[in-house]
Amino acid sequence: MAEPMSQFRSAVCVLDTCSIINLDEIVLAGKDVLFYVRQSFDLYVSSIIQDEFLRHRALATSREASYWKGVLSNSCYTPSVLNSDAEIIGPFYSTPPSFSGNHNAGEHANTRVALELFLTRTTGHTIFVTDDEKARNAFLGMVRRAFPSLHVWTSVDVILYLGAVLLKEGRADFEGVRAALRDVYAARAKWEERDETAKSAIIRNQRYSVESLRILKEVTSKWRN
Amino acid sequence: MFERFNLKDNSFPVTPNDQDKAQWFGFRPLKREFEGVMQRSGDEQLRLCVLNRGRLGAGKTNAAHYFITKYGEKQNIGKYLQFVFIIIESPKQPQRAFVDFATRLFNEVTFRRILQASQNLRTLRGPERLFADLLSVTGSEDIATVLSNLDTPSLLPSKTFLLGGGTARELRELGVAKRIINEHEFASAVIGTVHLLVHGQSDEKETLSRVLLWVDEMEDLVYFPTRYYLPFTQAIREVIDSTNEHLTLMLNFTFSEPEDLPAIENVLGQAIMQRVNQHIVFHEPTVADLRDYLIELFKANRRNGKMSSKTFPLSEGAFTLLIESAVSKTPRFLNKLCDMLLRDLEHMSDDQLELRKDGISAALVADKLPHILSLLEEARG
Repeated sequence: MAEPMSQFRSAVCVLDTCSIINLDEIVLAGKDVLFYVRQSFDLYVSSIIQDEFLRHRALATSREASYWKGVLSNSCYTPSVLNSDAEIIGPFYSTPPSFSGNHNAGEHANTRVALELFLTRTTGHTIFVTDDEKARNAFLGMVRRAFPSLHVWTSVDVILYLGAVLLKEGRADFEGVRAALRDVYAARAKWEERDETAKSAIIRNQRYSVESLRILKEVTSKWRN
Repeated sequence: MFERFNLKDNSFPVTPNDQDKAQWFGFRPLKREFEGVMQRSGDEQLRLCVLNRGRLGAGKTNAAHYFITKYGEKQNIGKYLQFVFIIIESPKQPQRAFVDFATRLFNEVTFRRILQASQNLRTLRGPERLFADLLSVTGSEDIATVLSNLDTPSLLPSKTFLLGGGTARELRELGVAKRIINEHEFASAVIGTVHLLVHGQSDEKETLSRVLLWVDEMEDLVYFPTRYYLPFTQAIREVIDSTNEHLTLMLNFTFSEPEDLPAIENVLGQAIMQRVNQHIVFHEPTVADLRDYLIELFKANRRNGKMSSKTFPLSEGAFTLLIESAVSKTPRFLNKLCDMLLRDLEHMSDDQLELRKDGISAALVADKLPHILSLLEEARG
């Protein structure tokens, strides 16, 4: 039997449909962010994500997006043990929903994928990327508390993660990463209602992200001087 | 509906409308700041760019409507014959943002008014000089040609041209080579139009008027990806920089934390922010602010002046309770709260409401408020 922590060094990325669409057309250092994601991240998704992506295909218009039907198909993982939303995801809710229909179906299925990959020691950590704040508030926060191996990111975190590496290597500049951050926030218009509360939240969060980017630039500049 | 409360039915509007003349209640320091801008606009020639920051319902749009009501018809304001107000919303189509902006601007001014200004200046300066002046400000022969020749027969094709359209035949008849397509060309058309509006308001003599361009909902730029945001802000910058006199640009920005300037800077970008030379912040109202506001609103909306207390139809206690429940909110919230409360009480008899005594009691209002506040909360009042 392997050592209990033998999987600790490996990480995978489980990606939600809305994040794929929000990251579409966003460029860093001359390349699509989705290109970096498919090339560099070890991707896993539930089959529901592929269906959702195809349903919303019109919202992803870049050339890069045209590869993603295949990317998602190759990244598809079907849990063999954790296969019931009601049994596995239900306990993470304070009041579990009926689990019928499409509501949060992608996030539920992706969570089962993430948990099974961890518990079967396929991976030590899962970066769970979703921009669905409602899903995060409804159950993902609780999943994260119970399973610290699951790291919940938004597509903004993807930009900052890639931005740090590209800034350090001098392949991107501050304004380029800042533009990518602007773009990823602007992409929310594809999904979200344009009410004032949502708009103010975007303005506020964008400010925090730009502040983070400034700090990140300070740190990465140590390699330049 | 609110007759027995001695109030007009539309006492508590949610947004300014074109039928009623906009009014200003309370918030005197804020009003003074705007009056200061109007004063400077009349006395100074240099461009002013003012950023109005406040929460939703704080009164930014009302301010625009109030000052257009107050100054829109006024003649001889300081150095100027008049103020030409243009109130538009920021563009909503990121892909064609500046075209959308220019279209809104032309439609708000109206092509007939642009035509009149062109005709006036043709009479006063002569067509050749007008063309030369417009060429100098716009840098475009085509745009200068169309704006300097605007007359009734050419109105329709000129309109089509300025909105970015036109068939080959129409363009030939107007004497222009091509349609206007990019942001730079639309910016030139806006700059030329502003020139006509500034100089061409009289057919008797050359006069100066000042354009007050009020752009609402600038926060919508947050939905502009960089590839659309940059050309839009570049074109706005072109308009601002080419019109360094006789223009007051008022930008309304709605944000839940209006004091947080860095967050606003991230959205508007440096191109615009560097040109802002005055800020007006709609701070969170205090109890005293809301009290003054509501008393003035009641007073201005009385059906007749014979009623007793300032707080009628509310007793002093009920009035205080209402104000306290709206603290940290906005005038719009208070309007909605009053409207819902009085509608809710409307079916009760005068005796039940104690209208003939001190007015609606605090106890009755306290009983109704929790439900109304929760409804407003649900609707993100």
